[in-house]
Amino acid sequence: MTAARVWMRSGSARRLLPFLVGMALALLLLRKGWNHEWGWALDQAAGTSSLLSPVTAGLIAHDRARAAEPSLASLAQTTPRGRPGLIGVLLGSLVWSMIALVLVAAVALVAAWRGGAVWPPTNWIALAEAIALLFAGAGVGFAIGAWTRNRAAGPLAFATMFVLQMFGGSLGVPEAFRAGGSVGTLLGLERTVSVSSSLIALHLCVGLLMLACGDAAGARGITPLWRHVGVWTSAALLLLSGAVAHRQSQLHDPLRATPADTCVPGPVTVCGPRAARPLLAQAGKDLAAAQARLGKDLDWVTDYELNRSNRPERAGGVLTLNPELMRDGHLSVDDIAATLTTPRPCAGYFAAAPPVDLMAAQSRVMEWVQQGLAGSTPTHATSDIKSAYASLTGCPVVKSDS
Amino acid sequence: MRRVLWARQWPLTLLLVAVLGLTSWGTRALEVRVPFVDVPLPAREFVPPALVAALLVPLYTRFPELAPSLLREAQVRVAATCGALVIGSGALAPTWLHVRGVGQNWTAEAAMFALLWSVSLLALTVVGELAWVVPLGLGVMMLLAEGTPGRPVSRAVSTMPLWAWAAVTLLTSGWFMYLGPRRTQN
Repeated sequence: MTAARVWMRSGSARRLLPFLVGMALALLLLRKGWNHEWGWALDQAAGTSSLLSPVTAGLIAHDRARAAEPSLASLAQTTPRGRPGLIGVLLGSLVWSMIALVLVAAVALVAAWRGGAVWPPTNWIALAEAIALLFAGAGVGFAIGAWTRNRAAGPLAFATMFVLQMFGGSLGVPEAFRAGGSVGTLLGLERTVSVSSSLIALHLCVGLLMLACGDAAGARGITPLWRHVGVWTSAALLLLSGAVAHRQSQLHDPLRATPADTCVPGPVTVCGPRAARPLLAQAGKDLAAAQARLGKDLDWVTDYELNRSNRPERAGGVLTLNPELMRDGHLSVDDIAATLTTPRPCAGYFAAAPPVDLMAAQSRVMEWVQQGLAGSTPTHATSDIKSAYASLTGCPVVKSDS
Repeated sequence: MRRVLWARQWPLTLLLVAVLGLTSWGTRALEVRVPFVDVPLPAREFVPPALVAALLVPLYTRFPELAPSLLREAQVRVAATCGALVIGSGALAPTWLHVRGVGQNWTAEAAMFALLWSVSLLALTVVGELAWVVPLGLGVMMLLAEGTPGRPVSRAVSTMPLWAWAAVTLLTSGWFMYLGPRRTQN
């Protein structure tokens, strides 16, 4: 217990905890639109690991390189745990980074709760992904610190982890070295659990291998047999988990579309995934207000659905909704205009050739809608606008078997 | 003089700055996609965080406990700070001129460099050897935040005119020259 306390105190991440939390929180709060739903909130919180894992790698590399200085290395030999105690350096900073991540996740959850997210919270696996990525970063930092043994270790480990995050996806597993940050569960997108699990295993194995390599690199003289066993075992595990993750990413998309299983009734009925209910309710109100403002010149469709492309055979409009573009809790004018001018999932939208006529009609109506919503008094719809809207509502719908 | 340059690792710094300056110029028109970011980012914007981290190298004191007793420490620190600022700005200046030439917001990029430099110098006085985390961490945070609709970081730094950023840079540089890096081993 005393050793754990010492390790926690000696980790550099402890001194930089306010900086880590501040940066991660800034990154989280500068992004908009995620605070209406648990899944997306946790996903955005997990996405801050893009920042935390390179910093963790850098700090652990810094600590490990310092521990290799002659005075400290000699001192380590005299401690009860000897050199293996150096791994405690890694654990201390890793735990502080995890604490930073958990604090950010807590803020995200509070924001989602205040944003009206529907109980219960989901997508906890995103946090597990982020923690596994931090562990991988810690392993990379430990290995680089053990190899370089000078002050360049920290920045080098930071850069290595950042480059791995940017280009690691091209190594055969598209989502490798990434966690969260890309899921729009409000839009009906969820992370595939099998892909997430395989990524977690992959990142843990990367961390283990790097840890074993770092430990072996720090050994003086003949490397003991158990260190060789550790390196080769973790290398085999990494290959295995890499193969599984590669296969999973081939079998499944990282994201899967969730069904539109909830409808919010009202003057305008809006359907979408259950988790999106608070946003759907707001969308219904905003669309109804827009239709009332534009008048009854057009025979407005009053049924819209998010994620329509999953079931194009159903009649009714296609809801366009970008939570990031919402201002003061209301849909953007562009989203309202796009929704009102897509009153039917026309087959043309799903055809190989671009639907030129449809798009021209949509463009005419959209221009009128945007002018009507922006101006103080909406203009009446001309016959040209009415016929364009009629072509949008009267188009053939895609068949269910297509 | 040569000993001072070697002790402060100027050759390494100059090499890094030259490489990063060339990288900035070479990637001036390139855009890259980054995880956790919605829109592609100009590749040149990745250079300033690394450049500022490199510029901190000659500002560290090799023997922090000995430094107060060294006669020329203060002068060396002033020269190192001014030199680092000049060569850092000089390395990015051609890219800024190019960005200005094509009608893009070069002042935002210059302001981001000034912000990274200023915060890093303050960090050097507070956390000493770990100060490199600040330009790299803050730089990555700014890049990831910048890649959202509306480019919030560019917008935020552009609210202050460039002369004000220059003043902040000079003030923080002066502050660092006065205080020096934290006098403890990390």
